[in-house]
Amino acid sequence: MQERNLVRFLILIGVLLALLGSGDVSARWPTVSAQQLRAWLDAIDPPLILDVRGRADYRAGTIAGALDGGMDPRGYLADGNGGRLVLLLPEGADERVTDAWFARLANAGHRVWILEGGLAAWIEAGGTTEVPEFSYTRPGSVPFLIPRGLCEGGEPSQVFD
Amino acid sequence: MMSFPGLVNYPGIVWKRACHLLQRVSAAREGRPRKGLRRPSAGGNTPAYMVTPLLVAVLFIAPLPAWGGTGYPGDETAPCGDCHPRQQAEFQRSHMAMAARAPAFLEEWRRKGRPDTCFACHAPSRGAGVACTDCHGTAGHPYPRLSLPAVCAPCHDAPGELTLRSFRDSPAARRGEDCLSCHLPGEGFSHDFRGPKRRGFLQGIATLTIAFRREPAGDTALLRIRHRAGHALPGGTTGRAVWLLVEQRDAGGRVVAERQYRFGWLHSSTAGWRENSLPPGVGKVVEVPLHEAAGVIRAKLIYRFRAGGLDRADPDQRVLVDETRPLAFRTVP
Repeated sequence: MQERNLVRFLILIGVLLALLGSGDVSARWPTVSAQQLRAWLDAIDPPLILDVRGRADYRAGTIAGALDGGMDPRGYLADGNGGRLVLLLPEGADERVTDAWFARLANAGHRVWILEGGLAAWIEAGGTTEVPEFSYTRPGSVPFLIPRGLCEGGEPSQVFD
Repeated sequence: MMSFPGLVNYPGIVWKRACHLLQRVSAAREGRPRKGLRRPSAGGNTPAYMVTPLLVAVLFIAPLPAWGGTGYPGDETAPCGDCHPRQQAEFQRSHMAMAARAPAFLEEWRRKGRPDTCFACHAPSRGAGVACTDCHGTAGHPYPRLSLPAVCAPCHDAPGELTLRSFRDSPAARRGEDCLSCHLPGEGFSHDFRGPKRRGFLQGIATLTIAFRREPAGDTALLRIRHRAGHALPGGTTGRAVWLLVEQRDAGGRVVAERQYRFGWLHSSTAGWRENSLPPGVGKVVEVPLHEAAGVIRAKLIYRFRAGGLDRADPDQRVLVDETRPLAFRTVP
């Protein structure tokens, strides 16, 4: 009888450990679903999205308006104004790294959520991505010029027609 | 087969005439002078026996000839302000009402050889600007309720604009807002249209998030521009722009790096037009490498109405955001 109880206890411990180590971030950190995030982004005061998947992933496509926070929480210095923040983690993110990001951002005054399922879930939910652009055309450079007039008589509409 | 397009307007004509008549009688009783109405003699109110036949004649008999007419009752040419003085006065203060008299428009119109096509939007009825019937139509009373944003589209979707296109796929549209939510707030059929030139209209319209990323390769400022407009910023035609000016100074106050970004339309003679305005909702991110000697970064967001570069004076320009951040983290060992 005692052996049977011991087995049951060990199984219970095993299940708990499996749950903790399964990467189910919702068990430890606040999360937001992709659908919920879409609704948040339509609000008047949407949260900031911080992409911490690394430069290559960020440049390959991210949620529009997301900042590239780098991969090392110690290297990110927040704005200081706090507010809501949604963290876009790499797939299978390490718990310690996630903890470090949470601590870093919470200390900066942010209320932090993790995007459930990451970018894949975002895309699956119909969210759009953009390839960040950093080489903005310098005004006056060739070939792009600043319009000289306020209205160009319909020419820009040809871009869409 | 003979048709009577004016028949459908009969109730409208009667209504409009009733409005006019009541105003005139009211004005006469108060002794106010009105166009086409003689001031009554002192102490002389209009006798009832004179008013009744006049009412019948003006309200029900006079509109009859309009039945077989064009469908556009002659009386509709009377100024709308006769019955809607508040709305007319409010609209007259708007820039739309003077769209063909604005100095910036006239300067550009003359420079381009006075093209007639400009008036399709600036003065469709060839007045000083947009007129009542340009939006409300010419169907007569009762005027149909306007459909938004479709009624704004002929001029704010093309030519040279993407204001409406950017609105259709915006958070504001998904929240159920329309053009008037911002540009004509208030109730009671207000016509007090307001735009970016109205004092205070752009107050708080944009925010700037300034964060930093430190890496072995160097430090980078992360700037996110967000705005609350329901459409791309700037709205309006191609010459308008929002500028982001980023300046870095060293400990001695000397400028060590400077960058300017222009958000609006750009044009190329070979590649055509490129739209680069600030999209609604999500915002735009700009990364600026920090100069190794920089101790302070300043970012300024400016809204400009005039086309051309920053060297061209724009008396109406507005500073939307002006933020300075010391780079204190660089001095910490």
